[in-house]
Order: sequence, then structure tokens, then C-alpha cells
Amino acid sequence: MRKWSFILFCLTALAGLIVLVGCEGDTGLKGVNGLKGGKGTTGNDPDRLQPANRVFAFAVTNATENAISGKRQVYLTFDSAARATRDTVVASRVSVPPLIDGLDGEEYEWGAQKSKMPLSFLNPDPGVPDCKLKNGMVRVAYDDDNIYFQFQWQEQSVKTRVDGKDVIVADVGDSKELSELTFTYRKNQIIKKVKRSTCTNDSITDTSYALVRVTYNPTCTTPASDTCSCYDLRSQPDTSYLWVRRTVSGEDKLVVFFPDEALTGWQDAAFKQFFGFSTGSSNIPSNLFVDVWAWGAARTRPVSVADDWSISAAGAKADAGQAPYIDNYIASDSLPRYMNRRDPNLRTSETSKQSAAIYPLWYFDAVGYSRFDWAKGTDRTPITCSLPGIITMIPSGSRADVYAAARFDNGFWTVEMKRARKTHNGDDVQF
Amino acid sequence: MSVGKSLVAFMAICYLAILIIGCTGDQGPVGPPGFPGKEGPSGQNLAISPVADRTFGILIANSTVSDLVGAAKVLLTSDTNAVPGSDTVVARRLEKAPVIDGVDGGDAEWGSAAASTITLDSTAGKYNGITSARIRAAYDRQYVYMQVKWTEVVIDNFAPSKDVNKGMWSYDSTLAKWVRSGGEDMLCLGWQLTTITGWSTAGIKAIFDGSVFRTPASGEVADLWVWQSTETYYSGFLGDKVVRYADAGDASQFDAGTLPAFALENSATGSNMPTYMRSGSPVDGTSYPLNSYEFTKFDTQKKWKNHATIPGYISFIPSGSTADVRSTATYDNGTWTVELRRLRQTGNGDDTIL
Repeated sequence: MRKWSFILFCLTALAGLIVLVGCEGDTGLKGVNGLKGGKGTTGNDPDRLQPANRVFAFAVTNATENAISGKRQVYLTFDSAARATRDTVVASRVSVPPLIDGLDGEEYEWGAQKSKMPLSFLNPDPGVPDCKLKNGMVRVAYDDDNIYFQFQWQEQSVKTRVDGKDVIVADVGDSKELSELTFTYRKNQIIKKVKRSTCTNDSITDTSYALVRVTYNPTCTTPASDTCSCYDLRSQPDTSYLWVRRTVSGEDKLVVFFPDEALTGWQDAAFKQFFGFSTGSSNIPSNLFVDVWAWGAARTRPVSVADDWSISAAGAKADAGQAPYIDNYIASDSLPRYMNRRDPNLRTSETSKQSAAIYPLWYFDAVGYSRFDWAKGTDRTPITCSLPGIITMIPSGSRADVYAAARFDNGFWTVEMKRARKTHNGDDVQF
Repeated sequence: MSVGKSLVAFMAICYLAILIIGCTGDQGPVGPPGFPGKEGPSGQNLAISPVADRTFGILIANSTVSDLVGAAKVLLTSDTNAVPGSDTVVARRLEKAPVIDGVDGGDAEWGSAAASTITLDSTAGKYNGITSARIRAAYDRQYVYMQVKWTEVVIDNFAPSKDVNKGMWSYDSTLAKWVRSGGEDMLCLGWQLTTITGWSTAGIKAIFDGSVFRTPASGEVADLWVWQSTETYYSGFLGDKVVRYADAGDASQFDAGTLPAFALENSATGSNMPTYMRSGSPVDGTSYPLNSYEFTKFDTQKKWKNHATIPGYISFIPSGSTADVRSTATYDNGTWTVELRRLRQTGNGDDTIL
């Protein structure tokens, strides 16, 4: 019995030994990584901060120079919590910039907020007809580098009653043929003559020449700077034809005004300086600075920019750089400066040529004006020839800071603009 | 051996066997997740680096470009403790860029960027009497802005004039011949692009011997900005050039870009008449500028009036690296104000980094 007890004891001890001295199991698998630490405080890039809220104004025209409609003051906020109203535009921060093509990409491109706003007639001068532009709408978006604007408005046909007849004040169209110049071969027209001796204006009926003749008075060596504009319209054989600007050949325009500081009455001063109103306050604050983006269906649309200007107490001034157009008219001698290189008679009053496209006339298609080779017709059926009133150039420098594209569709203009938030040009506001 | 001893021996063997071949235990459970990491370091506020100290040389001509005054070496620094002096221009950082329009906007535009009056000495040819130039410099993240003003004076054959009609052709009906006249004013700013032998002591004179530009050793390159009152004036840019080594002759050339960079000379034909004229030019001629899209072959059959004029250079819009420096200038009562703007880093290897 003792023997078996001893054996049992030994076996138990052996089992205990096995438990005690058996090898340790492998280390368990490593636990999963802890959560990522919190993000450090964001550093500041002064050029990437959210733009400061500001005010702006905009004006639109329908084929006129200064019969403007628009909004005198719009509040532009970059606070996404704000809500767009007829007076407040809320800029959306976008990760994908909207396509600047004049096609309304709506909320997919511009974000959800848009400001519909009625347009008011803003020209204070008496007798200027209201073109009754309506249905204004503004959207704004921005990203780190650029700010984007979209403007929409609608044109409508407006007539007024004058002496029992309907006279068209405004019509629906894209109005891109600014200041078309025309010359008509004709007799017996009344032209302006400036007398050499007195330098006073006078009018005569020219019956002696089939073609109106223009020449400078030889005593006026620099006619353009001569204060009395001495020249004789008929007398010398070294002549050319008298061209005139065709009436009602204006352009549709959108002009946006950004004051550096919203001084009281800044709009009155800015509108008067830019559009040349004859009435309105003459008080211009000495520290006035307004950045102006002027888009025109004729002047700037062909080159996809808005003409960048600024207004200060010294007046309206184009930003530094090449303009997107040059005027094709020399008022002092009633002559165009340039004509089409390929065919001067591209558009005439002849039936087959009345609707020929002559705008835009690019600078590389233009040559200096020549008085030869114009279509004349006959005394009974004279021909009217046409030339564009502006030559389209490639703009440069600070004047070309604002990229713009526009479409006219079914009476609506959609103009979209893009500009760098920081242009590094002193004649621009910065966002 | 007794049973007890045998058993003890057996157990000892078993014990040893267990020690040697004992079973391995089960693998332990997966550990718990680690603790969250520490918060990352704060982002670094973007600091706009100041313009590193540089030296540059300046040359100025009045009407004749072979007669120059200049300052061989001027220090450009953005050290806030530096004081503008006769050989030191202190660049200041501006929040709002100045307007590059050639009109001196004063402190309202240039802020704390005070003007330095740089003393000029005769450098080449005859002394044209211009004693000093006032220079302002400023910068922001992307651009460096400079304004250089100098006043022309009456001395010997020099006189104040706005020389923007270089090489103008004029018709003399009495003699029935065309003659050319007119020079231009000039401003040159020279910078080291690589280390240039002798620059530390002679400045721009290390690359300009009084008549031509070239660096003294192979591989040495300088950046040269040349403003001319006719050839570059009408373009809105100044000429961005590079100067290289050459054994002899001038080794400066426009940076990469289309040619002609700024102006095509309307040189004389074999009959000593202009080669080009403005298309459709009236018989009393035309004035500057004659743009690249306006010129045509000279009309020899035209009955030109006495004193009819034709520009001696045709203006082109520059492109590429040669158009890196935007510039506008005005002339008022004998004083030129040239304002310019250039990217601090153009990305072009032929430009100095500022």
C-alpha cells in the first residue's frame, strides 16, 4: 500500500513538475494601433485666408453708353452661414472652380446660393430713356487662388411714343457692333465746316463735290491738339471721305464697381466718373478708390476679358497695360484709322453684303486706312460702306486681370468672370 | 536497485525529459489597442521671405547710349535695420502692390520703401551730367517692384528731352532725300547670375568695359535689364537680357523669346530711304509708335510732303523670358520715372532670383 501511495505521489509530483516547468506559450499578437493623434493647429497663409466681406455695385446697359440699370449696393459676404438675398450675395467656397464659359452651370458649378435682384434705373441725367433691364441675378464663388462672378440679366424691347410714332428705345439682341462707321457716296449733304479765319463752327450744304473732301488747314500743324480744330472740309485736293458713326450702334455692357472702402456716396462719384453723367454730386472723396471691371459685348468680349479700370479722386483711369481695343476713328478729320486687310467692302448697303460680319476686326487683319477702292455706286443708287468702330487687340498687364466669358441666349445675358484674389497690381482691390 | 530508487530515477529522467521537450503553452490573447498618438505639431505660418542681400549696377544714358553715368555696385537689402544711402537701396515688404504706371505715387504707394539717392559717376564716353538716381524697391511674396528716377541736365551737348523718337526718318523735299535723327535715353540694371570674377570690387564694371557687355570668364553669366526710351518704351516691358563670356565684342542678348524681341529697325534701303512705313500712311507721314501690325513696305511712288516722318523702329510685343520685367515710364519736366515689376523667381534659368 505504501508503495502504491508513493508511486501515486511521484506521478502527482511529476504532473506538478510538468505544469511548473513546461515552456511558456508564445506572446500574443500585437494589438491594433491606437487612434491617430489630433491635428495640430493650422498655420496661416495670409494669401489663403477667407476674403473679407465687402460691398460692390454693378450696372448693365442695352446698346447704350450710359443709360444704366443695376444695383447701387450689393453686400458680398464669404460667411457660408449667411443667406443670399436681393441685397446680399453669399460667396461659396468651391473645390472645383466653375467653368467660365458663359453657360450657367447653376449650383453644380457655383454652389447652392444665388441672389436674384431687381434692377433699378441708375442714370440721373434728365431725358435718358430707361431700357428696363430686369431679372438680375448674381452668383459668386472662390477658392484659394481666384474669385468667380456670374451675372445674369434680361433685355426687353422698349418703345416710346414720340410725335405719334413708336420709337424703339431698346431692343433685344447681343449688340456687339459698337460705333459702326459708315460712308455713303452722295451729293448735297449738309456737313460741318470750320472757318479758317474765325475758327467757329458753321454748316454749309455741299453741292459741289460728289465726294465729301477733308483736309487740314495748312496753318494747323497739329490739328489734334489745336484748340479751335481749324480745318477745312472741302478746299484742297488732298482729300478723303467723310465717315460718320452710325447711330444706334452701341454695345451691351456690364460694369462692376468694387470700392476699396465703402465711403458714403461712393457710387455717385464712381458712376459719374465712369459713365460721364452730367448731373449728380461733384463731391468726390479724396481717398476714393474703386476698382472697375467693364465687360462689353463689342469692346472686350472677343478677347474674353473685362477691361480693368480704377476710379480715384483724379478720375477714371485704365489700369496699366494694353487695352483690349482701340478706337477706329479720328474725330478731327472724320476718318477711320484702319480697315480690313482682305476686303474693305466686306459690308456695304448692297443686298448681298448687308449682313456680312465685320466685327471683330482683329489688329492682325487691319491695315491703315486708304481712301481708294471703296464701292460707290451711282448718284441714283449710292452705296453705303461700313467699317468697325473699334479694332480688337490683345490686352495685357493689369488691364487684362479679369478673364470673362459671356453668352446671349433668348434675351438673357450670362456673363462670368474670374480674377486672381491677389493680382499684385496696385490698381486693383484684393480679395 | 529497489523499486523506490528505480522510481526516483524514472522521475528524474521524466523531469529532465520535461525540461527538454516540455510542451509549449498556448499563444496569448491579442493585446489591447494602443493609446491615441500625440497631437501633431502646429502648422507653420507662411512667412514671406525677405529679398536676400544683392548688389547690382546701374547705368544711365541721355540720348546717346555710349555716354553713360552709373553706380558700379549698389546694395539691395531688405534688412529692416539698414538705412537707405548713396550706395544702398532698402527694399520693404508691401501689403499692397504699387501701381506700375511710371507715375510716382510717393509714400502712398511705396509705403515705407524710402527712396535712396544713388550717386552716379561718369562710366563711359562723355559725362552727361546726371549726378544721381533716386531708387525705391519693394517686394511681396511674388514680385519685386522698383522705381528709378533721374533728372536730365544741360551740359555740353546734352539737354533734357524726351527721346522717344530714336532714328526717326524725316523727308527733306528741298534735297529730295530722307534723313534719320534722334537718339534715346537708357537705363541698365545689371545683376550677377553666377559668381562673376571681379564683381565684388568692380560691380557692373566687371561685365561692362565702357562699350560692350561680356563676362570675364567662361561659365560666368549676368542678368541685365535694359530700358530704352524708344526701343522698349512702347511695349510696356523692359528688355531682359543675359550677358555671357566672350573673347571679344558684345556678349549680351535677349533672354529666350520670339524675335525681334522689342523693335525691328526700319533701316535704310540701298537708296537711303526707309525700308518700311505705316500702311496707308498719309503723305505727311506718321509718328511713333509704329506697331508690328501696322507696317508695310515703303512706297517709293508716294509724293511725300516736306518734313514727313516715318518711325525708325517698329515696335513689337515681347514674349517669353525676355518679357519678364514689366515696365512703364513717364517723362515730366526733364525727369524720367521708370517703374518696373518682376517675379522674384521667374522659373527661367536666365534670370536672377530675388
